[in-house]
Amino acid sequence: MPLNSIITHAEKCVGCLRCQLTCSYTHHQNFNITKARIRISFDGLKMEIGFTEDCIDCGACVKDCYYEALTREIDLTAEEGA
Amino acid sequence: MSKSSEQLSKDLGGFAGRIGIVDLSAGTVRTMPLDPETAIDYLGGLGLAVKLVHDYLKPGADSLSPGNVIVIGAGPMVGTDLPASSRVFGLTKLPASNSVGWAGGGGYRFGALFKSSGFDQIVITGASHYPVYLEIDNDELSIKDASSLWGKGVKEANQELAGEDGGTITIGPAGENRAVMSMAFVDAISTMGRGGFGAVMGSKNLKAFAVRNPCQGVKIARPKEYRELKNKLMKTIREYPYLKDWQDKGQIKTFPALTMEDYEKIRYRRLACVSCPIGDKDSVRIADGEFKGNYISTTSVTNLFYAKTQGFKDHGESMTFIAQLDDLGLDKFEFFSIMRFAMDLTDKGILNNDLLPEPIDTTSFSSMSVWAEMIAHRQGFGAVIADGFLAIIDELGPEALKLAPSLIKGMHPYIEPKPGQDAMRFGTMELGQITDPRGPHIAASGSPTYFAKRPLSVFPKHMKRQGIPDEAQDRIMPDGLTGNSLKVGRYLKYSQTWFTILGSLGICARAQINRFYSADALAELYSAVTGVDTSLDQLRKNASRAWTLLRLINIREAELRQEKEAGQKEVQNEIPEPWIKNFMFKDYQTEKPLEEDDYLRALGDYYDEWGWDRETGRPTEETLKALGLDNLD
Repeated sequence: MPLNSIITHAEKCVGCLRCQLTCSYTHHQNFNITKARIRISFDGLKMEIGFTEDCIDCGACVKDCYYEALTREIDLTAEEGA
Repeated sequence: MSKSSEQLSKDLGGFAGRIGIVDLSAGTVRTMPLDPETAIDYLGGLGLAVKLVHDYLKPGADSLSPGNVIVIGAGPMVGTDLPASSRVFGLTKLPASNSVGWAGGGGYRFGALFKSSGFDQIVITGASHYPVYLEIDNDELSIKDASSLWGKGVKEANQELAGEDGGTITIGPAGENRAVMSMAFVDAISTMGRGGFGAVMGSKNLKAFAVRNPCQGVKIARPKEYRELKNKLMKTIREYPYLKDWQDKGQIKTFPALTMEDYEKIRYRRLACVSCPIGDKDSVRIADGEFKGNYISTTSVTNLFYAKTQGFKDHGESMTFIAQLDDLGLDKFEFFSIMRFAMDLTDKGILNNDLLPEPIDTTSFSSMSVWAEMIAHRQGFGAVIADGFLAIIDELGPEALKLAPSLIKGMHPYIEPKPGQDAMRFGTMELGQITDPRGPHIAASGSPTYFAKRPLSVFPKHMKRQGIPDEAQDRIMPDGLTGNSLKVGRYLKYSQTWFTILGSLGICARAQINRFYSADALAELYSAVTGVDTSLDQLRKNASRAWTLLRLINIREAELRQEKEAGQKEVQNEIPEPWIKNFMFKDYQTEKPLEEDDYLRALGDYYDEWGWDRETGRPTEETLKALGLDNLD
């Protein structure tokens, strides 16, 4: 599991994929939702929010969520140890 | 391509750079580079699709013949993170109206995947001899066998093709069997093509179009400029005081077809098209009755209650039935319009109910379920209904014609008073039904005249936002903010231009999101995304070029049809007789009931504002020259 401080609230997620768009552009300067380090999946009933191993906790996805499905706490322990 | 074109291609952002050409008769695909100058001249998306239809449609081809073409495209903004940049457009000759018209849809991810797979447009010609689907996988376009998918509903076919990460445009059995009220669905959620877009795909044995695993991505030409403009836009949205309210209520806010209390009973999850911060789709759960516990995803929760407004017993039956129509790929509005007509025919004894396998009763879930299947599978009289109003009238004769409702280009108007209802105000939406090439649709006709009477004082702000030039504003309201001089016909031209701009760029036209965009901002965003400096004047002109070309294509097709069927009256833009006879509409401001001359004057104003002949609606030589359309084949 990647170390990241992002708290997910899948019940609020509407599947707009803004997080995937913004993530891919932030890290690749190119929009491609399949290259994002955050992944939303919806099977018609359940919405799931997950992260790939490459997530560096930059928080770009949190900033761009308009539905409060992603929030952030800063993990001070991780910062001190980095 | 010239050297300067090559350089433009290299630097061009937003656009993916390729057009796919599919020949379904031969079973071949190829790609060609996007010509950047043509792309810019027509803006992209909807506009560019019009140009491609002009280039590839076999003149005079029947809508369900191999000579018809389907063009599917997405504009330069699609695939970016601009809000509501999801829109995909399909353009083809539609069977219901026998005209070349547009079909647009959003969807969860199809548009973004399509563009980031390196394609701007796909041109589909011919007809396959076997069921097939198109696939783009790892940026490669191919034709695949669809025999195991044929016959499946939209939901199941989409699930099989899209998997977890893919996107699709799919038809159901109604499209496979070429029902004129069949549609396609983007990602099994967004509807596309009332008027038979599904039927055209079905006539080509084309079940679906699936996209997955994109490689190329979508790039921005001027990232810093883009980021500043986009952030400004997103800040405005975030600070909008009603954002949470819209996010919470979605479609119920615009169309309160049910009370909030009823909505709370069924709501499960809100859903959105890709990139949209104000999503208006829903996943709901039926709360009680026979179908309690079933989940339904829908592009519009108010749609799910449509059958209840037609007399169904309860919400559960209504929702279940609309979900059945969606899965078959049938348009609910046209379905109920035509079934009401069929029921009137049985009531009057023109059609013998006793000989039908199931009596026609539009208030009955069981009756309508059976008829939906019979139409989708062309069984018995269902096969006649599947061919639309004109086929029923043709089959049953003048007595049926007497009972027929208003028809515009073979379809039922979307907006007109119900029997017994008062006359409605005549705004751009109402007139737009007559002038839209695809038939009685309203999406391209937005203005402050939507739905409720608005004081003229609100018009200038909207006109500016929609990019209407000052001198045109004076023609639209010649007496300024006082008096009763609003020229709905003249305004409509700019509603359609605005719609074409949005559709060509790939931005959703729904009121709750397009309100955040202005034409000025779109010109700046277009320049930043593509890297091609584009003024507002240029944006308007290029959109006008696309819409005028669509008009030219339809004039050509109408003339060819008249030649083929000598003596047949070609219906272009006509006012429905019931509108005139029954005084169905009144002036937007004065409320004076409209007579034939009033409608014709509004239509004449509309043509004149476009630079088309006031009587015939034919683009003048001067207009064609100004738009560079005078030397087209």
